[in-house]
Parts: sequence; C-alpha cells; structure tokens
Amino acid sequence: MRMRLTVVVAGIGLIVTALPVGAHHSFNAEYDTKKQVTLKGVVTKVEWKNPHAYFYIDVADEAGKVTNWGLEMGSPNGLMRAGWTRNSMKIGDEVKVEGSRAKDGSSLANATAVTLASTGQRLFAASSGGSGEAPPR
Amino acid sequence: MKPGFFGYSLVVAAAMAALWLAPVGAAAQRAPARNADARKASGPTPLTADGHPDLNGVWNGGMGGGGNLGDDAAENGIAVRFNARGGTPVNFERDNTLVRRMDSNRPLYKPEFWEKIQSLDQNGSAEDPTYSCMPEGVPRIGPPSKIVQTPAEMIFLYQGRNTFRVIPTDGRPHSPEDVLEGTWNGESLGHWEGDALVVDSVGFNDAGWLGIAGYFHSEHMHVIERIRRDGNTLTWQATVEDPVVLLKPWVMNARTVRLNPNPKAVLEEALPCSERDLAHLVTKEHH
Repeated sequence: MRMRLTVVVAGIGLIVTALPVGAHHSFNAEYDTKKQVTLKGVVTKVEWKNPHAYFYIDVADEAGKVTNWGLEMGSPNGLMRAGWTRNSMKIGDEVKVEGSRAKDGSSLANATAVTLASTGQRLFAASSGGSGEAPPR
Repeated sequence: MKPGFFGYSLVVAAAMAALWLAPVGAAAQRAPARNADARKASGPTPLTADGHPDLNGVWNGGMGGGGNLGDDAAENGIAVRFNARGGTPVNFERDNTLVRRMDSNRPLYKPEFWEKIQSLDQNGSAEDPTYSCMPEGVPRIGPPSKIVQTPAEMIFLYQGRNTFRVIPTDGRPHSPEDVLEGTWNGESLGHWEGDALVVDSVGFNDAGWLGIAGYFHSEHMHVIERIRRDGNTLTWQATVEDPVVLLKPWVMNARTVRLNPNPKAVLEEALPCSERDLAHLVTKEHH
C-alpha cells in the first residue's frame, strides 16, 4: 500500500504540471529505455508546445549522410524548472542528445538530457521517462 | 459542507480514494487528510457587496507541481526518478493506469454500454478526445484556475488550453433545447443557494468524456456544480445526470483548491497542444 503511494507521489510532478489532468500517452508504448542513443547534430527546428516540446537535429554519420532526427522532451513548464529558457536552444546550435529510441524504428527519440555545445551546459529534458541518474552537482 | 478530502489533483484524488476507500455519496465523509493543517481554512470568508461569498481569486495555490524552485534547479537540473519497483517509467505508468481506475466512486452506466466503455478505455490513446488535444469539457476540467465575480455573472478561467466560461447569475432561464448548440462546456447558469454557488449546465455535445476510463456521455447530460469558499480554500463538486447512458446520477468526489498566496499572481498563457505520438505508438498502454 505504501509503495503504491510512493509511486504516485514520486511522479506527481510529471502529472500535475501545466497539463490538464487528462490522459497521458505511455512512454513505454513509444520509446525503449533499453535502446539508448547518443546523437550529435545541428538543430533545425524547435517547437515549444504542450504536452511535449520537440526539436529536430541533422545528424551526419561517418559517411557524411545526414538524417534528421526528432526529439521529444517534456512539457515547457517542466523544462523551465529544469533550467531551460525559450532561448536555450536555437536553430543552428550544435547539441549532443542522450535519449531512448522510438520502438517503431523511426528516427525519433525521447531526450533524457541535452548538452549545448555553445555553453557546455547539460540540461535534463524533463522527460516522461525519468532522468535515469542523479543530477550533476 | 466540508470538503470531501484534500486533493491536489484528479490523480492524487483518485489515488487517495483508492487507498483509503473513501465512501461514496453526496454526504461523503472526510477521508483522513495527509496534512491536517492544510485543510484548516485560514481566516474568514470575505463577502461581496451583495452579501455573497467573494469567490474572486486565482485558485491554483494548492495544486501539486509547478512553483518557483529557485536558482538551485537551474544550476543542477531536476532529476526525475521513479522510486518504486525498479525505478523505471514502465512500472510507474502501469501502476498509475491501475490507480487512476481504482476509485470506488465511478459513474454507473447502463449495462448495454459497458462493452463500449471498455473498448474506448482500451483504445484511449486514439479515442480519448483530450489525447488529441480536444477540450476536456465540463465537468472533466474540474475547478477553475481563476474566478472573476460580478453581480451579474461569474467568469471562470482555466489554465488548461486557455479555457473560459461565462456564467450569468442574473436569473435568466436556459435556452430552449432546440436552440442550444451542443458544446464542450455547455450553457451554464449560476445562482446562489445559501453560501454555495450552484452552476447548472445543459446543451453539451457528446464528444467529451467524464474521465479517462472511456466515460462518454450523451447530449442530454445535465451537470450541477457546487462551489463554496471557506477562508482561503475553494471546494468544487459536480453531479452528472445523464438518463440516456447512466443508471443514476454520478455524484463526483469534491475537490479542494487553495487561493494562490501571491496577490499579483496571473495565469500563464497555455501553449498550443499538438499531438504527434499516435503515429509512433506500438502498444495501447496509456495512463
């Protein structure tokens, strides 16, 4: 009984942010925490929306072929609390993204953390999948 | 009428009801409060010039989440971890799926609709209107984030999706049924019964849900909301009548919200909602 309460309370910040308390898609229905990716690329688009902010980056492989990846983050409200501002990331910025890959094999991932090349700052992405590790001290 | 129990949100309210098996009904007793101090109303209830409780204010002071965490958060980031059962989002989501459907107080549908409701719930990622950024509607949207009270009308503002409702309190009757256009929030009229504001709404469409578990309704739904102020707390309770789909009226659990302690608090503009996950979902899980 107590454990169940802990589960709810631990995640409560995710559920009751700016979002109305409606239905939530499942992280696990879309992304695989066992398929971690680390992507380095150049930002092509940033969308500050509810329920999830999204951004897109061009990633070049060793052969120079470029793939555009979509990255899902948490809500803008959650991102603000994680230290983001609307201007933290802009088109043309170089970033490194750590995240969980989409289960359907598309070039899509759920970002856990984003490192901005310009400042070296590593920000958690307020992911609905959690942060997976202790914050930097 | 005292608040049913102290609830930060529908999620916590559902969880608490599930855990403490709060009794159902209009005269519901209080479940034990997590924080007894928080439930004590602080101070008297102010009145307006015409002698009614003054409901003016920003009523998001008691909701979980949000708030200003200061510079430490910006420096160190916020880590979100799931503390139970292996610390994975998978377990949290599955527990939450159950918890959100465990409230013993649920609408009682006619048996011919039970299969439809199960199907809507199981396919919620595709079927739930809020999942595709459509409105929550009344009563799913719950208590307002801000109330503006004038002698002739109440204006309810909701943070979610920049929603507003204008509720005349001038004694006018409802529009005739054949004139009413079905809407998500219905046509609402307000009047006072003692210290309670009673909001009566009809003229709904049938597109909205009452809750996450596939709880659809008909266009003949009639919703009665009762709102009381007690010091710096506001208690909202809704009753849903829908003789087309329900066996009896659904008396929803009351919810209590607190006045925002910042007298200069403003509501933030809600960002547009955009749905992009449906095309990538590989299972039907949702919570």
